[in-house]
Amino acid sequence: MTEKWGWTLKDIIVTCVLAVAFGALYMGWVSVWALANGVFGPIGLDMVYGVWFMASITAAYIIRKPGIAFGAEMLAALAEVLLGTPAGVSVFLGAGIQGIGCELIFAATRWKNYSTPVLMLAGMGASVTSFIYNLVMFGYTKFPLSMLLLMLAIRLISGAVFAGLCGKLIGDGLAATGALASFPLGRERAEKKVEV
Amino acid sequence: MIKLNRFNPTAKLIANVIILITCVVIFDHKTMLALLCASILFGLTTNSFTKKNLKALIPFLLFALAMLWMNALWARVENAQVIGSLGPLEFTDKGLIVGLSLCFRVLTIGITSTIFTTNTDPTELMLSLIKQCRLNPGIAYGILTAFRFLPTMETDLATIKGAHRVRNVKKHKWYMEKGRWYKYAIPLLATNIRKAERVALAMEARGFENNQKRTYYKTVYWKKRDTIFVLCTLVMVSLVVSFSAYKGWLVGFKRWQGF
Repeated sequence: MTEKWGWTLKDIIVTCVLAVAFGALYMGWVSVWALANGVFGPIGLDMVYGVWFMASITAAYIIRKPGIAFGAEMLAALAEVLLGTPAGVSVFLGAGIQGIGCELIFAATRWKNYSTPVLMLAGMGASVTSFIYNLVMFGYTKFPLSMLLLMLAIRLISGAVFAGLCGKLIGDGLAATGALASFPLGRERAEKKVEV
Repeated sequence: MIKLNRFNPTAKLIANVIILITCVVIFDHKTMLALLCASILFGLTTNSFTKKNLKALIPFLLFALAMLWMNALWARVENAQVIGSLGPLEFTDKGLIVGLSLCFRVLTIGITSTIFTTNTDPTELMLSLIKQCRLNPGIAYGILTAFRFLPTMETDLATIKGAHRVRNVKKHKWYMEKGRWYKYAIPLLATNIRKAERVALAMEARGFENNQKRTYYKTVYWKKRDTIFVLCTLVMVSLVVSFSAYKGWLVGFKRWQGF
């Protein structure tokens, strides 16, 4: 599996560290969700949902190899289970579905293009797949259509802004520190500087 | 008292998956309530409810309750009767039933998962995933290594805060500050990525490779009692489901009139 996609041990360890950091963030974010939920009901979930795709997008933006977006999300889910999330096994299912949503967008560009619009699209891809999952899992199908469309629209925005833009922001911030010198993102940054 | 931590983590994972799938294909509140009661009873007999666990379940409880009232208000059901109203909002009986079954579903998943996570040792889970689920050892050890970083991340955060104070980083009111989280997140992640690179180099230097065949100091085996555990879960779940089918409560995929 790792040979086929060209993951090196360094890629794996860095993805794992990112996944554990984001896994801890994801666990904490549950309380933000609870707050949003108390105020807005299930629509609150859609508002904050984008944060749960950040691991995929940040890791894919930095490492730029096939399968990283999916892998990072699954590893973040594994970290959550190890930390003891009450969502348990269903976290794997949800993370897998979100990861596939991101990965599909990156796959459509053949893992070559990591510009801002693509990253935002990847966040939106995860929004769509996760929405379908919630539709079945939490029985959203009983809600009226207009409300479902509103929920989907809010989730798309949340995915694009929280996951896409914030993921890129974190990646760029890390590249500026020089910590990513041996990764594609850091190299791209260095090449640009030489040109200027 | 059953000691759950003696079972294979993969067996517990499979048991959880069985319950998860059952929850997703059942659409009536009585069967779901029976499953919820069964899982609470199981949790009590294995002594897995601590204060910390119950606190972690609070967001789930809130979400379950929100699902309940949202469905009672807006669910699309036929021939529904209004059973109560609050100002312009009207609650329907059938919507309430849909809400109840979803509320019980969320709670059942939350409680069974809590039982799983409190009774499973992280290292054993990873070893079992390598052995029984064929997870790549590189990834498994990577996660275990990264997991060791968590406590040092806290010290790192304290260091970063100290450094900000030494350099007199100005504190603004929260609405003036563009990215307080950003100022902490970037140095924190940068140090940890640097550390991860060093760890990867060290692992390679000691001959750790991704795909090698390797032996283990400690191996988690699949024993007879793990098979029995999975079978017991299956029997329990099917008992609950067939009892409600016998009583005529069960609403499965076929009789469900959604969409």
